[in-house]
Amino acid sequence: MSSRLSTLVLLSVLVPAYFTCMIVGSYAGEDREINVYGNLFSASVISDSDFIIVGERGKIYLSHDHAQTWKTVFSNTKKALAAVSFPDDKNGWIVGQNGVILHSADGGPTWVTQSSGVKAYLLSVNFYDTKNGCAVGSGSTVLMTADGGETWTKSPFKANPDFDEELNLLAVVMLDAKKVCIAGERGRVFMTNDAGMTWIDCKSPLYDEEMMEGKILYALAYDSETLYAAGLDGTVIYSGDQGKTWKEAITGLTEPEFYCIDVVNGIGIAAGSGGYIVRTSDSGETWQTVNVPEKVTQTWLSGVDLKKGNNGKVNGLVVGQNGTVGTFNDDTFKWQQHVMSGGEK
Amino acid sequence: MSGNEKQVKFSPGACDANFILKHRFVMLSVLLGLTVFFCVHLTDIKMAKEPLETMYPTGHKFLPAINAIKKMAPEPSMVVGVLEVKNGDIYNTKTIDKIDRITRGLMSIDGIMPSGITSLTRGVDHMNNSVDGFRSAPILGKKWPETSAEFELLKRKVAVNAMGIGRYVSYDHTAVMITAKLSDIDQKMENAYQQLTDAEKETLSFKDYKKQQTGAFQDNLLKRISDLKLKEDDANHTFYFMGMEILMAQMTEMGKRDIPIAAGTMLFFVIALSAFYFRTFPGIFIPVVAMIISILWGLGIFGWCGVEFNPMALLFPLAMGLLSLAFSVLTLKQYYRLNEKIKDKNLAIAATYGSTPVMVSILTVGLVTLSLYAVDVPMIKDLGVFGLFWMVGTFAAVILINPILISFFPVSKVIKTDVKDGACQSMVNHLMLLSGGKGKYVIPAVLAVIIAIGCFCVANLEVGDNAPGSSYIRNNHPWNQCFSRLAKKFMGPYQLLVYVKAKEKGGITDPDALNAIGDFSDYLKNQGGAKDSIAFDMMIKIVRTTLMDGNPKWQVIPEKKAQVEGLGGMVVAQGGVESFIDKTYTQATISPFFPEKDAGHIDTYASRIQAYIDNHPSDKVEFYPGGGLLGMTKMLNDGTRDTYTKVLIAAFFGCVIFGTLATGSVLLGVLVSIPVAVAQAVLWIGMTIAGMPVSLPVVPASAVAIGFGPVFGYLLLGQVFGVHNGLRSYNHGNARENRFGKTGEDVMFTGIIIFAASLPWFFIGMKFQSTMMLVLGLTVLLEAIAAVIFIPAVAGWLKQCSE
Repeated sequence: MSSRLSTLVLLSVLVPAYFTCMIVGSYAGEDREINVYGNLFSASVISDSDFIIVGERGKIYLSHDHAQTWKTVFSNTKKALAAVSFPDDKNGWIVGQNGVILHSADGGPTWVTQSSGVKAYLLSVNFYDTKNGCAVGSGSTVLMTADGGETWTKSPFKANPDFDEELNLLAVVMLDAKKVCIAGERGRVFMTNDAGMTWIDCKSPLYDEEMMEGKILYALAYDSETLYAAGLDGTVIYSGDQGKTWKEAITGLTEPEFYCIDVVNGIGIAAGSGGYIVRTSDSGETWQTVNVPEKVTQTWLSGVDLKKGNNGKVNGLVVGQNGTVGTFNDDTFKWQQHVMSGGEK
Repeated sequence: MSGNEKQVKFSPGACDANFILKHRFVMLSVLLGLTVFFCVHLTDIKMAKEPLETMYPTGHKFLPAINAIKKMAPEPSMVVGVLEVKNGDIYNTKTIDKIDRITRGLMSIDGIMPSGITSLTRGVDHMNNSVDGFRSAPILGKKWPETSAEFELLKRKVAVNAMGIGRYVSYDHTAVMITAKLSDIDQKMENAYQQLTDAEKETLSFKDYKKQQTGAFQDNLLKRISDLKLKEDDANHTFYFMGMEILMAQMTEMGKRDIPIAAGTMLFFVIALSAFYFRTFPGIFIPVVAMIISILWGLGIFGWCGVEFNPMALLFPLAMGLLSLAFSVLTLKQYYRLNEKIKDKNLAIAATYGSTPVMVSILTVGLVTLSLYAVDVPMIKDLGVFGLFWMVGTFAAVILINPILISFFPVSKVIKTDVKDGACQSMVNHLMLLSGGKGKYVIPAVLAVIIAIGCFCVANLEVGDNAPGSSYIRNNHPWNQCFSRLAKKFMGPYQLLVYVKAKEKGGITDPDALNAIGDFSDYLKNQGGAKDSIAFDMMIKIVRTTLMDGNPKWQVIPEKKAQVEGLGGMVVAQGGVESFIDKTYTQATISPFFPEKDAGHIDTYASRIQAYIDNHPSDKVEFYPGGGLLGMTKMLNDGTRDTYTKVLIAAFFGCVIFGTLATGSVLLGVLVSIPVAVAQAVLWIGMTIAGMPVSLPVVPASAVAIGFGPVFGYLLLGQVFGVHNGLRSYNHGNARENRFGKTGEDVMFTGIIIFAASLPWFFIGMKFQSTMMLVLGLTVLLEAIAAVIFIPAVAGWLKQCSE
């Protein structure tokens, strides 16, 4: 009897102990790694599979698998990198704080510094081809190159011919090797037809010349002979005559600031504060609001790039605050996992 | 002359006991005089001013950072409220009105700074860009939302607001936070004290006035906010609130309510059980006197020596007093049994109270408790010192006062001789069956298995439940309900701060320093496991963006130090950033908010932080982890882990060594320690199954219980064959028939009375104290059961092996 009792005692101790050990043994930490993070300012679709993102404190991220995975690229700078432009799948330029200009000739893995000759914060860059490019930034800075960035020349840009007016230029787009459109504070838009030697004020409808104030334009895009500009109060304007006349698009939104815009083959996206995104499929005639995950509504989006893929469909990348990355493929947005997962990790 | 009589004659303590009895009136007068003396010194007990700080292990690597952060920015007193919506979200008129009413209600409470209240309806501004530049306006606007479209817009505004999601609105939009800063209470008291008349000041010192007024202030605060809660809670809304002042008031309220009930119930159990067991007045009176005197002496010497006492360990003296009660009960019974045998009252008293096992047992408890002094946690160290003082008090109470008191009563008045075998005896008889027959082979095997499983469990047992504040009270307490909502629904209270020190004065404003801070903060947020992270770099960037028309590309650190200083001036001027940057720009903090608070996760976070620091040295700044709730919790966890290990080793060795000294045999020294090992093993298994982590109160309770355990072994072995006779004389059958069963009954009763006396404390709201008492009571009960089951069986098995 006593042995049976002892066996029972033994079992009553061993069985719960076994399960306890199972529980103790199964514990494991599960903090997920997010390899793209920080504030991201600009992005570029280099090819069908290769994407690049730049951001604060010299961050460069490169993906070779359609934004599935990202790797950090050494930039050799801690300065903010504000914009990136890839005219082909090998050559790219990045501009940023303190006049930083970086050039890659191998599709993004390595970057070398180019001398800009300025200390301004370069906020936008656009290359028409591998030779001709333009960068703009704070304090009316406009830099032009015709030799792939070997030399950068400061353009004699003046926002106001009558007096010195410091204007922060926020966006640039090249229409051809000589024609460049720039935009910035107070809704000012300018064009040059001679690679920045002379500039024409495009008389943006957003600028009140008399009051010398207007709605900021943060971004420019050019597609199929049409110029697009996006800015404050959900504004998108477009011009089919190279900036001579402008039409205001009805986006249906007045709350957000649109910090970025891109249009390819009539398909366009503008994105901005509060994670607001609008898209067009008819070259800006009509715009629809895109539904985004709740986490995206807590961020700003400051970079978008679209490119027509080999299959004829438009691929794109949208980036913004706190590592927000979304891909656009054949009319569908897909957001990076941590953006989808909500506030709690 | 029997063997026992021989033992009596040769017992060295018996001569002392005879001396005491001979001069009992003088001795009693002296002892009572000393008791009065120590009672007077009770008022000299210095209460720890910063109880939490005495719980941190000295020399912990987080300590310098914690002290630096505390010096840099003392934590403001604050009330934090959470209004939770049960069904739906906060975006409706009823909820917004409720938030506003609570906000206004808080403003009207004395001691809350109206300007320091922030909620969705007050102090949270929406900023947006316009043609005229950046605009800032209350997030609800001039006209509060009414339609669903307007509420949807509010939701979007909340989403982009720096004080929105995770801060003042929960991630799931079902709760809002309301914070209210308290005015400078010290200053207020000082001003009020100055208004008193000179006569009033003469009768009331500022210290006493402050104590009085602080209590009144805290009570009023708690009452007013409780009234607000009562008014605003409805079927769909619940208002929770917390804060240090609130906690103090709640703890005081809880103490006033729970402690008398628990103490009364404990006394009832002690008296009822003693009455049931002894059935005489002295049988109740003498143990209770022993308990009270040991506590008075222990605390009195504490006050006399000026050792600091941590109010968190309030029940520790009581726990030790229960052991004095146990010694008194055991010796009283032993006296009775011996007297019954030798029919000589004085000789029986002298033999019982002068016997080596009793003295060694008291010495073992005292010295094992003193081993707590060897650890690095000041509070635990002080408890170790208390153990020493308790030993003196218990010696006085049990060895000196108890025999004198007994000598005043006739034997028959002390214990009823006609009491039949009771429940304890019946229990012991059943347990004894386990160790008979084949049991003597099976039981040692079971013993080995239990100890092996126990060791496995203790190796895997988590340390935890040490978070300051939330761990001191029950999970269902209103304070913790608010706390858990903050942790789950908001950015939460689980911070593990990184203290940043610039290598040069004012060096934080160096752009490289700020970028290093920003990199670290980003790492914590994105790879370090934090929900979010706040640092000074972020504030600079936000101010800069505001100045640059809201363009996010300007959300970067300026290139020049002077520019940073300019922006820093604007940040500091706004106020409320003291905990992130000091005025000289030489010290700063990075505040990551983590999702979990268990020891495993905290260790992971801390190791990630340390690894980052090791791998990312900066020319401009130095990083030191520490601070925040998780920093403090980690220190307490590390202190617990370290002290628990040290204390367990010291206590076990202490038991074996004292057991060896008392019995004159290493084997018997180990044998008397078996109940201790089994009780601890079963406790660890139980803790593992219940998911109960090892917290700080477990450490002193375990030490005391371990120190007490061998007494059962001494008594059982002593009764069976006399501890000095060794195993050769052991015969299980004879032992059972002879004295073992009776002594086993005493052992079981002692275990039960300690457990019963501890039990009421388990139900009080103060978790720290209740854990301490539960561990003590449960361990002693387990030790008693283990002693009755295992000691005879193992003794039998050892004898078998030796043959």
